[in-house]
Amino acid sequence: MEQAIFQKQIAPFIFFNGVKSILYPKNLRNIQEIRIRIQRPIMLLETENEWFLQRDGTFKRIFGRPYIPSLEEVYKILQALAQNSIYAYHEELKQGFITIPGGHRVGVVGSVVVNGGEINRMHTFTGLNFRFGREVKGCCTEILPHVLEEGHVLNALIVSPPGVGKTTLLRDLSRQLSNGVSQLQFRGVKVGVVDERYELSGSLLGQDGFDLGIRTDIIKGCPKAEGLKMLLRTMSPQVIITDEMGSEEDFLGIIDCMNAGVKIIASCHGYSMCEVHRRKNLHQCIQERIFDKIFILSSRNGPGTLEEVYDVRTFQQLLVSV
Amino acid sequence: MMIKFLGVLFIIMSMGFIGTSISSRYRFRMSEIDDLIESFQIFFDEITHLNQKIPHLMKKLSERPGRGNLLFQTVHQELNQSPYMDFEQAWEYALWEARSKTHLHPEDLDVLKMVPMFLKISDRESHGKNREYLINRLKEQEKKAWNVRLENEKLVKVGYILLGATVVILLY
Repeated sequence: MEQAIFQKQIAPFIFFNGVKSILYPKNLRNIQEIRIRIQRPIMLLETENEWFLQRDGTFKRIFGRPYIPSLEEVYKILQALAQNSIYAYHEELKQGFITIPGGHRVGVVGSVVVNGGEINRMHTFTGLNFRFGREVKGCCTEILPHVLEEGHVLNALIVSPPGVGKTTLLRDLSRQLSNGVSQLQFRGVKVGVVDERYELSGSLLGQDGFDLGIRTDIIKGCPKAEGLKMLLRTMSPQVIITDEMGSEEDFLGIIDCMNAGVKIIASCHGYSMCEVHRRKNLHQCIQERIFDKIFILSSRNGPGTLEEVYDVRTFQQLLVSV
Repeated sequence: MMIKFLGVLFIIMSMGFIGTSISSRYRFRMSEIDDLIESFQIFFDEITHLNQKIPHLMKKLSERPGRGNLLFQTVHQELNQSPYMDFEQAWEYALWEARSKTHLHPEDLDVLKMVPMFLKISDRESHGKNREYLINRLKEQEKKAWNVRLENEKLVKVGYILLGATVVILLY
C-alpha cells in the first residue's frame, strides 16, 4: 500500500534536477515518514530503519552518495504540493503543516513572521516531513473489549510515542463505535470527533479521506477545547474522540464533556505510565479519575502493540504484554 | 481621368488603411493593459476571499475575452500539460510568449514579472498590498500607453495618408 501511495502521491513531488526517477526499495515494509531538509540527505523512515535517497534515484540504507536538496527545491516541492497556491494553506501553514490528497500530512518548518505575539505567516521553508495517514480497519479489535463495559463506552486515554499508531487506532475506534460491533453486541453510538489538524479525518478541501463511521460528526481545524464545547452544544454526541491532548484547556474541555455525561476517548504522547505521571495535567487527570482506562502502546511488535492497560478506577494493571 | 482619380483614391485609402492598422497597436496596448487590470482584480479577489487555487483560477481567467488574457491562457495550458510545474516557470514562459503575441511593451511585461513573488506570501494583508501595488503599476503603464497613443496615433495615421499623397504627386 505504501509503495502505491509513495509512487502516485509522493514521488511526483520530489523530482529534483539531478534525480530523474525515484526507485522505491522493494524490501521496504512499513514506511512512516519521508524527511526532506535543505542541505541534508532525503530520508525515508521505516519503523526501525532509515533509507537515504541517492543521486541515482535509489534508496540505500547506507549514507552513500546522497542527494542534497537546496532551499529552492524544498520550496518547489511545497509549491507543487500546494498546487502553486501556498496562500490557500495559510491557516494550516500557521500551524506548521499542510494536508495532501489521501489524508497524508506534510509537516513544514521554516522562518515564522510573528505579529503581536501571534504567528502571522511562514516563509523560507527549510524542511518537510511527509507523514503517511493510514486506515487500518480492525486495528482496534484488541483494545475494543477494554473500551466497552456492559455495552457502555468507557473514558479512555491512549498513550504512545509518536509514529506508533495512536491516530490510526483512534480512527478505527471511531469507526467501530459509530457503526457498532456485532461480535460484542454493541450498537453504534453518536460519535463526535475534534480533528484539530485534519489528521483523524484526513480531510482535504472539505472531503474526508478516511471513514470515521456512519454516526460520526467531525469538527475540523478547531482548537480542541473549543471544538469539544461546540460539539457538546450542537451535536449531542455520546462519545467524543480527540487526538493529542496536552494543554490545560484541553483537559478543562474534557471535564466539561464528562460533566455533560459524554464519554471521552483521547490520546497523548508518552512512553510509559511513569512518564504520564510526571506530566502535571495528566497526573491530575489520573488523580481525579477522569479516565477509566489508560492504554500504553509501543511499536515493539509492529505499530500499535498494546503494552499495558490500566484501570484507573481500581488502580489495577489489567494487561502487561510479554 | 476617371481611372486616374480612382488610382489616386486607391493609393491614399490604402496608405490610410496601413496607417490605421499600424497606429492601432497603441490602442490595442491600452486595451490589453485594461484587460490585465480587470483580470488581476479578479485574481486577487479570488485568492484573498475565496482561497481559489491557481489551476482553477488560471482556467477561469483564460476563459475571459480580451487579448490581455493570453498570459493566463498560456499558464493554464502549461500547468495542464505538467501539473507539477512551478507557477514561476509557467509565468515566465507566458511572458516570453506575450512579447510576440500581444502588443504589450517590454516595460509592461517587466511589471508583471513580480506576480510569482506575490504567490510566495500567504497572508491576506500582504495580498491586499500586492494587489494595490500591481494594479497601480499597471494603471501607470496604462497612462503611459495613453500618452504614447495621444502622441503617435494621429501622427502615424496622418503620416501615412501624407505619404500616400506624396506618392501620388510623385507619380503624377
